[in-house]
Amino acid sequence: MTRGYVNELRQAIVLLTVHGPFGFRHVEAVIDTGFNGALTLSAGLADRLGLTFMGKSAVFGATERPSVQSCYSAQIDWCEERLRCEAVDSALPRCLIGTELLGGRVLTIDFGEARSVEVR
Amino acid sequence: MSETIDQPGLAERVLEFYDTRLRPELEADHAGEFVAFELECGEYALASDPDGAKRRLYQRLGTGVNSTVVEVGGSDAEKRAHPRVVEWPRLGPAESDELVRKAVEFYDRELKEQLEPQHFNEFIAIDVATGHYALGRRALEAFDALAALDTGGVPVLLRVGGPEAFRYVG
Repeated sequence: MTRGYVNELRQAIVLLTVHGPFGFRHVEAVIDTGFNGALTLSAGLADRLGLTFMGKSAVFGATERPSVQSCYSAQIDWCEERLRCEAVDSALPRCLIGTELLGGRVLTIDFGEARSVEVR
Repeated sequence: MSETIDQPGLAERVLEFYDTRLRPELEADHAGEFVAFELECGEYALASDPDGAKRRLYQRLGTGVNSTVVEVGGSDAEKRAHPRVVEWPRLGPAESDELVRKAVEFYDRELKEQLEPQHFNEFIAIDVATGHYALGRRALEAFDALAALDTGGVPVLLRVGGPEAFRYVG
C-alpha cells in the first residue's frame, strides 16, 4: 500500500522514489486520473537521475495540438514493489502519476477531514 | 518495410562522431564495452555496461549530461559497419517535432489501415529512419521490442488509433 495526503490545493499527493543510474530521489507526486500514462517527470529530474532516454512521444494535453516530449525508462518504488515504467518529461514542478500505475489497484482519496490518500 | 524515410541529421552526427573520434581510439582495446559521450564537448567515458559509462561521464562532467551511449564494436564486421546505439541524445524541439511529424505521416500512410483492426489502442514505437516498428501493450514493451531490432534510429512512440501515445485530460 502507498499512502499520501490531500494538500491545500486539493491535489492527491503520494511519496514516490525514482531510481536512475546516478542515484535516487524521493518525490511528492500528484495522482492525476486524467493522465493515461505511468509517470511524468518534474523539470530536470531525468537529467539528475541519468534516466535512459527511450525516444520521443506525442502527447495530447491542454492545447489543441499534440506536443512532443521525451520518454525515459525509470525504476520506481510503488506499492512495495520496484517497477520499471515509462516516464514522460515535463516542465511541471511536480511529477504526475497516471492511470497506467493505477491499473489493478484501488485508489481511495478522502477529501474530508482525514485528507488521506491510499493506493492498494 | 516499404521505404526509407529521411530523418533529421542526428543519427549522422552521432555515427560520424563515433567513427572519426572514438572508433580509432577504442575498438582495438575496448570491444564489447560501452562508451558514453557528449556530442557537444566531445568528452567520453567507458564502462562494461551502459549505465556505468553514463555514470562515469556524469562524474567527469558534473551536470547537464545529454549523453549518447554506443556499444564499442570489435572484430565483428556487422558491428563495425553498424555500431549499436544503445541510447540516443535528446533532440532539440525542432528536430523532435519534425521526427514525430514524420512518424505520424508514416503511420497514417503505411500502418493505420493494417494495424487498427487487430491492435487498436496498443503502443507502437517507430524508427522513422528505416520504417521499422514494434508493438506493445505497454509503452516500454514497444520501445524494448524496437530496440531489440537494433534499427539504428531514434524511436517515436505513438498509439495505434491515436496517434498520440498519452493524454492529459482535465
